[in-house]
Amino acid sequence: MLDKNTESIKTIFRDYYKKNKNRINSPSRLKEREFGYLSFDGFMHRHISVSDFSDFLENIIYKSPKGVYASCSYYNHPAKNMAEKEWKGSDLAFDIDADALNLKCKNQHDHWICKNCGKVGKGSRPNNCTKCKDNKINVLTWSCSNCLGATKNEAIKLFDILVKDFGISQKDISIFFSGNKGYHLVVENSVYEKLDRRERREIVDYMLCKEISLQSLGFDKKFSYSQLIQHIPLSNQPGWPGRIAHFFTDYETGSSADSLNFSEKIAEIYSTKSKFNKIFKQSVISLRSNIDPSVTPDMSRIFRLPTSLHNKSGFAKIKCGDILSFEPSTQPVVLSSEPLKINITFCPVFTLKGITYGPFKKSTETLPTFASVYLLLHKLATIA
Amino acid sequence: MVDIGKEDYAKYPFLPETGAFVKTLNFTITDLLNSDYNILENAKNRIIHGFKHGISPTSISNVEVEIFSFPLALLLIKSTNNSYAISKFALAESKRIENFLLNERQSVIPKLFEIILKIQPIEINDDSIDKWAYKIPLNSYLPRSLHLRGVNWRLVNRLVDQGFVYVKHKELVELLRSEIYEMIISKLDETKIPPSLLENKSISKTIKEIQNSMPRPPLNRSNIVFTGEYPPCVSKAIEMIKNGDQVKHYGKFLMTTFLLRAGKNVDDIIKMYPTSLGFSQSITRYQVEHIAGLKGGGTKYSVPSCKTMKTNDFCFKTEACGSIINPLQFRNKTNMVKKNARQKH
Repeated sequence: MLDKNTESIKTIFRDYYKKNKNRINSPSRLKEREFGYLSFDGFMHRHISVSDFSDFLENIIYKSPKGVYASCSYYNHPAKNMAEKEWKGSDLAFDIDADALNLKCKNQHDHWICKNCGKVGKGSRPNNCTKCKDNKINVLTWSCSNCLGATKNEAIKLFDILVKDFGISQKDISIFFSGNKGYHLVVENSVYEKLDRRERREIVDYMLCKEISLQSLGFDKKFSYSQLIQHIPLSNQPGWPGRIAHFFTDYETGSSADSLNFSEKIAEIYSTKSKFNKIFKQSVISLRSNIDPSVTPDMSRIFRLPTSLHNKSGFAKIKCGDILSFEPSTQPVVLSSEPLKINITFCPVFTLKGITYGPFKKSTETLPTFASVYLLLHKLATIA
Repeated sequence: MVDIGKEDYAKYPFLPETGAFVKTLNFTITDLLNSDYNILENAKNRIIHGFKHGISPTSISNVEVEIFSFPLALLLIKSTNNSYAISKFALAESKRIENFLLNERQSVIPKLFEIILKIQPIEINDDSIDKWAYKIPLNSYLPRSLHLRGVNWRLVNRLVDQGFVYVKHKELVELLRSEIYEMIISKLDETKIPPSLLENKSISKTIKEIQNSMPRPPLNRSNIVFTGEYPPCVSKAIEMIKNGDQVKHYGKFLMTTFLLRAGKNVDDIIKMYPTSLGFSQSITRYQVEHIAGLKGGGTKYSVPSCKTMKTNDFCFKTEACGSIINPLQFRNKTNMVKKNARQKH
């Protein structure tokens, strides 16, 4: 038996799926993928095979789940349990999430709420409530334009590495806004679909620039000055050596122009270890793509189905045509603008479709459905 | 135009050209034994030299003798029915091929790799990156580099461009080492011993000589076959692997070393890694054989201590573990508990 709030959200989700069923496209290799859905009573239903996508969508409308998912892997028997599915291959999938970036703005917009006394505080969760000392505390992770801009930047870096280093055709890379606070990048039809989880983990480490060695970049302690000059990478080189050399060049000159013969300058910086280490560390932090390391190697994972709704925001996971001009606080906001009255316990400022709402504290408000659902799903409000 | 000649047939017995050449001569085993050249002696020396030096002879004095001594050596070593000696032979033969590949003419390298291992390295002719000799597709590099030690093999430490990884000549050969070994093993598997072979006096005499020169396998400190309950850390690793969960390196290392000591063989352990969940059988085989001391320097790895497992965050201690300091002691402990329980009754 669902409560009144959940029933209302479920009805709104059902209306969305009814109206938009023609906009939800079937994934490629439909019959080989595993499907799943998260129902509003909290149960995850997995190991579903689909042979007719329109039938599946009718079922989704009927069930009106909280989340709809499809595997990134292809199997001979997608409906069987993991050990019997007979894995055939997987898309190369990446997840970028604002929460994992540990941005400074988190301290400004993330809150904690004491379950016992209702006390609200900014920033990370304390061990005990500062008012009543109870340890039952809810955490509210929020997002702002800075978070969404940062995740977009990470997605752009990842796209660049996939194209330049991995030689993946741009048309085979799909960039999706996840529907909440990040992006999914999915590579289909590539030579990488047969890679196993260890090989995928190696790709993750490459993207994160994890354990990159100075020696591999040409900075060998045993080298004489002339050997060092010979081995220092040039900024026009491919891969990490070129990217890092480019960063050093920019760092010193502020411009990459006329920087091909910059080896002597880099060698000079290398002679001052502290300065070199500082710039090198900065280059890695700035150039790597901060993907979630646990997602890519996990081939048994199921991902939110594009154009379906996110269970934590009510926004849709949508494909970004042009990532540079994509507006994450507008384009994924797909629920109706019909007014919906809610009782808000507390909520920080948020901006959707160009309109800023809040902050609210213990008030009854009539907001567009998309904004009300956003707060209902965050458990910050109840239906009035 | 790649020019592969008769000497290459002697160096690389797997080339289709080698097979075609052998076929055209239509020799039987009896012909080989009765030949003017002492092919049987050469095959025997090839095996014994490998036992002694870890590498089969790399000098080729007579191309035909070399070509025919290889299949004969396969028959001889297989007839010994000694798995340790067979594995040592395969290793020595693969080292011989490696040696040839390292000193090979630049022009034939790509062709050889393409024919033998279905990988086509592309030669680099760019002065700005002259330290690299070849580039190979990234999806061919990854499965092979993962079982090699050293940070230089990590993808992040390679020059990667447009789906290719740049490698030096020596690295290319090293990358394909385990596959060269696998090729010899599969060639041995394919070899069928004719029933009449052992009736031939000179053959049975040669096999005896080989048996007398065979190396002793490394000492197995414990031959006890374990039948009891596994310690919780080993059970956890087995369960996680079965479910396709991500298992830390130390978890897999513990499981393999423990099960080997518990009397399981390499094949039994490989079967525990479900290929349906993305585990590559060839990589798993290489790793398990390496831990068992059948590969590399022959070091047989010990079961890591409880302290090591704790440090590497793979300790799932229960009351049954008591004060053991190595998972192997769990066996004795539980057996003792059971024994005590029996005595009480």
